[in-house]
Amino acid sequence: MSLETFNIRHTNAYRSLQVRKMLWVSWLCMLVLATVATLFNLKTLAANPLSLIILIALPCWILWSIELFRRKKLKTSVSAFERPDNLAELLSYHMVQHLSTKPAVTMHTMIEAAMESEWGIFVLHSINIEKSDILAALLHASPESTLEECLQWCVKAMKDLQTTHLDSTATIYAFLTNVPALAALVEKADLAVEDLKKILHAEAFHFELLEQTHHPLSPAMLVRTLGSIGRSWVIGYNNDLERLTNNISETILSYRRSVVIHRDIIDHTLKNIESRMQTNILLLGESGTGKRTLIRNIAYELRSREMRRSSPFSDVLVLKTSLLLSGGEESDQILLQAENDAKQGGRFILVIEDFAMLLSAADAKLKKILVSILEAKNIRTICIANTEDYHTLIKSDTFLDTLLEKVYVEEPSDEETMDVLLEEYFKLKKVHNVRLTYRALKSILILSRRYVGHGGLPGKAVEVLEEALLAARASSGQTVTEDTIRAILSRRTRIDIEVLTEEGKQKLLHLKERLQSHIIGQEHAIGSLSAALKRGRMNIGSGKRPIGTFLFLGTTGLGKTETAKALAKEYFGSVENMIRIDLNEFSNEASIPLLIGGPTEKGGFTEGLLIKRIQDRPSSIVLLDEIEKAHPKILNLFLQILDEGILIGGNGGKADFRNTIIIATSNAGSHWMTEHSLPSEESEQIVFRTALLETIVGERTFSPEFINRFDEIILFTQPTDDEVRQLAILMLGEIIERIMKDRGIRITVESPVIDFLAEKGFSREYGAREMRRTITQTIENYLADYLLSRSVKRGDEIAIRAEDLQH
Amino acid sequence: MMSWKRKVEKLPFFWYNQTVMAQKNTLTPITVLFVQWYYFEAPLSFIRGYFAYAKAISEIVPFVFLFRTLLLPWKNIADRTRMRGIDLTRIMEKLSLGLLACGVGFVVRVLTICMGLLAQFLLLTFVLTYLAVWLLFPALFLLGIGTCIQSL
Repeated sequence: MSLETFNIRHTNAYRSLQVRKMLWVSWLCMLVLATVATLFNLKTLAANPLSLIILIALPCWILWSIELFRRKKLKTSVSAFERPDNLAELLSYHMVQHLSTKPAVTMHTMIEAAMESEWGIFVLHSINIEKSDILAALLHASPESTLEECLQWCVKAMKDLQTTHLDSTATIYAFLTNVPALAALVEKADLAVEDLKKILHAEAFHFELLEQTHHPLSPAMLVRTLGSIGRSWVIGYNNDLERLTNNISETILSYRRSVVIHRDIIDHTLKNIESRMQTNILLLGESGTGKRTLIRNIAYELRSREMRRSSPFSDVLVLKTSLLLSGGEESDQILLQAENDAKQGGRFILVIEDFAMLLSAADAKLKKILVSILEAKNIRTICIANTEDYHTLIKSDTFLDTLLEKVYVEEPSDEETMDVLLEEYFKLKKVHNVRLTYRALKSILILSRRYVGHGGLPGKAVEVLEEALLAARASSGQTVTEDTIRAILSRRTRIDIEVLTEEGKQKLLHLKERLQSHIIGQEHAIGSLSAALKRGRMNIGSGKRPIGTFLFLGTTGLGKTETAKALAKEYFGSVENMIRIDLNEFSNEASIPLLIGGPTEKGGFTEGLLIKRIQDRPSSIVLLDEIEKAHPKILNLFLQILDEGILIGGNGGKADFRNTIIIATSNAGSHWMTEHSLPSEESEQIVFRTALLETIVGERTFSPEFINRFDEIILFTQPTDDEVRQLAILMLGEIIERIMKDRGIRITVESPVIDFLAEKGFSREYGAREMRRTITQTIENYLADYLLSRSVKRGDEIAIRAEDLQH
Repeated sequence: MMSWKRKVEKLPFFWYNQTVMAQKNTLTPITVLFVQWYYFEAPLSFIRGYFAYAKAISEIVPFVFLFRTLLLPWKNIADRTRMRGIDLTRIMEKLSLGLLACGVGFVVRVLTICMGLLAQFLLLTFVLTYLAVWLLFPALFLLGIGTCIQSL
C-alpha cells in the first residue's frame, strides 16, 4: 500500500465538522436577526402575522434540514471503495474529530486521538493501562514507524475486527499488537491478543446496549408501552387465579433482553406449548443456571410470536407459592376455584417456581388439586426444581413424575456466561459507578467455575460480580481488579486463591523441610505430597480432579496418619482442616447412605457424612483411614472421586473434591512387607513395589482399577536405627516443650536415655506406637513420681539419666 | 441482501458520482451530495419511517385479530352451567347472556377498529403533508421570501 494522499480535510467527516461549526454560528445569527427584524418591524408584522411565521420558520427549516443532512449523511458516510485514494476516508467521524484538533497527523497523534474518544477510554479502563503509559512507551519505541506503516496496521486491524471504519478501537488494537513497546505493556497486564479482541467485542456490546435505549416515541417503544389492544378480550375473568398469581405476560414486552441463553430450551418449550399434546414441563438444574430468567424469556418469545401471527394471547402466570401455602385451610378452595377459572377462561401457562417447596409443604387436598391442574387440558404447567429436590421429593411420587417432562437446564458455555456477566456489569456500572477490568471479569468466570462448587453458572458468577462492585463502592475505590475477585472468592469458598505474597511463596518452597520437622524418615512420601501441593496452589493441574491422590501402604505405626496430620497443620493451618473418615465403620453395604446420604424410613432424606463435611470445608485433606476395611461398593464410590473430583450424593447433589488432597491409608500387604525387607537399590525397589501390589491384588484386597486411580502409591518403610533415635528425640521433645510451656521447668535428657528408648520403644510389629507407650511408661511415669516426691518450682531443672529409668 | 441504500447508490446519478468523481480523485461536491440526499435519500427514509409507525399501529390495534374475533363474546362470558332436560327459561337466560356478551364485544371491537383506522389515516395525512412540504420546500422558500419582501 502506498500512501498517495492522506488528507483528513478532504473527507466527509471533516466537512461534517465544518458544517456543525457553521450551523452554530448560523443559529446564533438567525436568532439575533429575527429579534432585530421583529423589533424594527413590529407593527408591520403584527398586521401580517404570516410574514412573522415565514420569517422565523423558513430559516429554522433550512438550518434544521442542513443539520439532518450533516448527521444522517456526512457523519455516517462510508467510503464506497475498500481502498479509496484518500485513506483518510476510512477514518471514523470521531477519529477525524479528534485528529482535526492536532497540529499534524502522525503516529503519536493517531493513537492519542483514538484514546481520547469514549470508546478508547472504555478499552483503556478494561485493559487497566493508563493513557500516559502508552504515550510514554511510544516515545521511547524504536525504531519509530512511519505514518504509512501505521495505516497499514490499521487497515489490517479493520479487516481482523470486521469494522467498516477505522475507529478508535481498531486503531488502539492495531497499535497494541504491532508496536513492540506497547505489546510489552499488554503482556505486563497479563493479557493475550485473544483477550484484546474479546475486550473490543465487549466494547462493541456495551455501546450496542447503550444504543438500544430507544426514543420513547419510536415505533418499538410505542408497541412496548401500549401493548396490543383486544387480544386479551377473548380470555375470561379469573379473579381467584389473578389473586394467586403474577401475570408476567402483561409487561413482558418491556423486559429488555440483550443476552438470551438456553435458546434450545425456549424453542422446545414453545413447540410443546403450541402442540396439541398435553405435556407439563419440569425445568431441572442447579440453582443459578438461569431457570427463572428462562421463564421470562419464554414468556417474551411467546408474546412476540402471538403478536406477529395475530393470535390470541396466552398468559404466563407465576404462582405465588408462599401466599398459597399461607392461606391455611382455605388454600385448597382458592386453588380449586383458580383451576376452574383457568379451565374455562382460556390459554394459560402456570409457572410454579418453588415446586419442591409446594410439594413438601402442601397437605393431601392441595396435592390432589395440584395433580388435577397438571392433568387439565388447557392449562400448561412449567415447574422449576433443582436436582436434589427432584430426587428427594418428586421422583418418589411415580404418578406425579410421569405427568412431567423433565428438561435439564445445563450451565451455559463460557462465551454465553461472559455475555451475561457483561450485560449485568453494564447495568450495575450505572448504579455503582465502579469500573471493572477485563482480567477481573475473566477471573470471575474462571475462578467461580473452578472453586465455587455449589450452584451453577451464570448465577454464581453474577453473585461474585455484584459483591465485587458493592465492595469497591463501599471502599470508595474506582476499579475492581483480579486481586479483589480472588480475595472475595477466598473468603466465600474458604480456599486460599489469593495472589501469593513473597511470604506465601517461601512457605510453599520450604514446605518439604517443614514437614520433615514433624515426620522422621519417609522422605519420598513428603517429597510427593509437597510437590502435589505446589502444583495445586499454582494451578498447574487441569483442575478437573483432586489436587493429589495418594495411597499410603505400610505396617501399622509407621506415620501414615501422622503425615496427613502434619500436612493439614503446615499447609492448611490446622488439623481441623482434615476430614478423617475411618472406613472401619463402613464395612457393610448398609453403611453407604451414612457416607453419601439417602432416604430415611420416615420418607425424608439424610445428608451423608462425607458430603456434609466436604461442603463445609471444600479445601482440605481427606484422610481415608484403613481403606482396605471398607465394603467393595464403598470403594466403587471413591472411583468417581479419584477420577473426576466429584461425588454424586444420594439426593443427586454434587460434592466437589477438586480442591482436596486425598490420602488413603492401608495396612494391606503388611504381612508380606514384614517378611520381605525393602532393598536399597532403586531398581530393586521398583521390583519390590510391583511384587507387593501383585500380592495385594492377588488377595483381592483392592482391584487393579482402584489402585490405578491414585496419583501415587507410597510405601512407608521400617525406619533405620538412626531414624528411630530421631523419632525418640522428636517425641521426647514434645513432652519437654509442653512441660516447659505449662510449668516453666527445664528438662534435660542424657544421650543413653535416647539409646534406651530407641532400643525398647520400637518394634517391627507395632512401629512407632510402641515408642509412645515406652515413653509413657518410662519418662512420663518417672516425671510424675519426681514431681510428687520433690518440691519443684518454675525455673528448676530436671535431669533424666538412663539409670533412673531402669529402676 | 443489498440494503436499500446500496440499491439507491446504483441508480445512474449516484453511480456517476461514486465512480467518475472518485476517478477524478475528488470528493463529490457538498451541494451535489446535499441535493442527492434531500431529494432521494431523505424522502425514502421518511417513507420507511411511515411504514414502521404504520406497522406499530397495526400491532397496537390488531385489525385482523379484531375482525376475526368480532362476534366472540366479551371476555369469554358465557353461561356454562349444565342443563338437565329442556328448560326454556334456562335456554332463554343462556341466549340473552350470550347475545349481551357478543353485543358488548362487537361494539367495543368496532370502536377500537375505528380508532385504529383513524390513527392510520392521521399518520398517512401527516406523512404526505410532510413529504409534500419537504419536496416543494425550495419553491415555497422562494415564495415565502417574496411574500416577506412584499409585506416589508
